[in-house]
Amino acid sequence: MLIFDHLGLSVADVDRAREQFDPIMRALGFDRFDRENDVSWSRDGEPEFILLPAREPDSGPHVHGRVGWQHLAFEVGSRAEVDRLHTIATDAGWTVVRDPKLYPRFTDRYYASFVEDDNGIRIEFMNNPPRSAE
Amino acid sequence: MPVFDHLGITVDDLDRGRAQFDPIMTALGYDRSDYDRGTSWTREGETELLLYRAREAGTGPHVHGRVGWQHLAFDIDSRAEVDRLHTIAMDAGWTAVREPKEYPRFTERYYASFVEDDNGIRLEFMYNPPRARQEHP
Repeated sequence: MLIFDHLGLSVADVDRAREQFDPIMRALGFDRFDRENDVSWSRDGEPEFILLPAREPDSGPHVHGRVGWQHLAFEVGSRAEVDRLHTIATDAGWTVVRDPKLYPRFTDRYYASFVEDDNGIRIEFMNNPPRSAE
Repeated sequence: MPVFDHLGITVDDLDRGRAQFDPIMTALGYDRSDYDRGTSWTREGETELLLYRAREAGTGPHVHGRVGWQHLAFDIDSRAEVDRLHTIAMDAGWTAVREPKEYPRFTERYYASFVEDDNGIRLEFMYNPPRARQEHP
């Protein structure tokens, strides 16, 4: 049983956020559950991810570097998958922070891209295989 | 290997953030690594948690309900462990949002507490076991 059970985000517009997150979460193998006010995605053996309406919708977007959300990284399994997820995100209106590239300062196998949604929520798609896989 | 690889939080005061998060993460079985820019807690098979120093001073605390962080829930093994984690958080200076109690509107077995650190980062400690099987149907 995972320690990280679920993770929630407050978004300005749940419908818009659903549109932006759903192609990514589905590509990662998660199923979506729509409720009256919020939406969640779940997959066996993974934390549940939940979007909720902000109580103050005009309080966004969150600005990276300010106190609060920094980023969430998804391990997607291969460099090709990083590229594919990055394209899915940009097609869904995510803003590119960093196009896919190597990050040798992390490890010599680290390949990643960074994107932000309309709420300033930063997500990373990454592949950092164990050294033995080289 | 989980799809959720790592999750980062920006804090105003990194030393204070370390002091508040470390007792909790240690109690959850995580190991800590300190870097110049931040701190990370890892445990085999679990999502890594990172704290980063804010780029600008004075941007916090984050206010629950505003766009951004809502909360992160840790699945704890028992009600007694929820109570223990809650006490550990209180002792580390976290603010109680909700004391440990049952949440029958979630499930009839759901028991949880909610706390916030100095940055307004809300965490939940929860216990929600699978529905017990009927032993003699």
